[in-house]
Amino acid sequence: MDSASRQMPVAVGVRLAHAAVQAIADEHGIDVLHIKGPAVHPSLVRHRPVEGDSGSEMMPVARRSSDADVWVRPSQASRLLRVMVGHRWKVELPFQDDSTFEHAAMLTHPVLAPVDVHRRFPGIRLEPEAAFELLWESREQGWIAHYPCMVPGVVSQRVILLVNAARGKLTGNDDIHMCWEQATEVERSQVDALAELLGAEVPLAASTGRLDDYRGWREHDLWALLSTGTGTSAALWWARVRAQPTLAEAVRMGFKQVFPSPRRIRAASRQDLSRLGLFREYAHRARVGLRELKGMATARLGGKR
Amino acid sequence: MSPGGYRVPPRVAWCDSTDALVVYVMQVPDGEPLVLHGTAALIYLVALETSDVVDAVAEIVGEAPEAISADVERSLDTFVCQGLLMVADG
Repeated sequence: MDSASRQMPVAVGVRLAHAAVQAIADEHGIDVLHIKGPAVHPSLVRHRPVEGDSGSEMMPVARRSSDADVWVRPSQASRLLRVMVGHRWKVELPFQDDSTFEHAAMLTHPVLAPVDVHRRFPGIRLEPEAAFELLWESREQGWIAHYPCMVPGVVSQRVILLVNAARGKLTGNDDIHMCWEQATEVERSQVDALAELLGAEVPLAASTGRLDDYRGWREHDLWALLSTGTGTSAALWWARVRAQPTLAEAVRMGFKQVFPSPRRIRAASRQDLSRLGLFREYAHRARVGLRELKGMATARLGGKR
Repeated sequence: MSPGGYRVPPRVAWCDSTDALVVYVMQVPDGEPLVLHGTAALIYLVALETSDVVDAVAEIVGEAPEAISADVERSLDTFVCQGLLMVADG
């Protein structure tokens, strides 16, 4: 029997990370839902025939994850991070330094895979505490690393995976295939109904080829750009700003994108930046961001698209 | 709960590999993850499936039960002492 610290595959580290977080949550009375990766319901995972078999037995195609994703009840998010720190986890990116959606904190562990702790989900407009409660009501017990972990119900999982898929490449996306293209009309209706309750109609439409039905919605352009991977940084900037529900949030979003936090710069650069290096990277990003904005503003004032 | 003579204790998580006889097992949330290779992994997995661990392992590895029983029992005792297995009720 050896220590697994130096020889643990990523997939194992992810599974054990899920189990460790559930154990911590149980110990402290914190509500978490495990999402994506090994938490996905078996019916939503693509299967393939077992090699050498006559074709009658199928096995799941392993989902590739490099980290564990958990969604915590927003009112308990700060407490979960605090108690995880007490169990050898380190906060690499706090919530406000994560993506422009500010939806997740990233924690690392000396041995286990990193964990993304979500307090909200990009694309869901419903107030975060209400959104979590809606999914919590239909939760089920799943098994990750043979450890009982709470997961969203199957309909909720379909919505989460489809909304998540809208942030990236749509063609050949297994989640879109399993959660929508393979779904029955009843299942699709259930997904649409839940997405409406969550305020996630637009990203769902983006991943299911129905975005035209939402022209004129303030999030339309944002999800059109995200789901197609097109557009300049400035175009994405405008789209994110326009997607905000209030002027104050729009201003904050605009500033945050042009002047990201130093921690986020360090994480994105993947280099051990010195203070001078960080300043140079920061200044470079701000110049690029402002130059793109100026170009876009000039083009709009000139009547060009 | 497995039908074997042993079961996984409440605060233990474990994974096995799809392409090798390896088991990763850990007391959550703070234990050191441990890896069991080969025969140790086999004994652990068999113990979760049947109460006749010695006979089952002997059949799999093609040895007489009496030839391996001491090693198997020693492994099971180690797993129990380490908190990775517990004796199933009944």
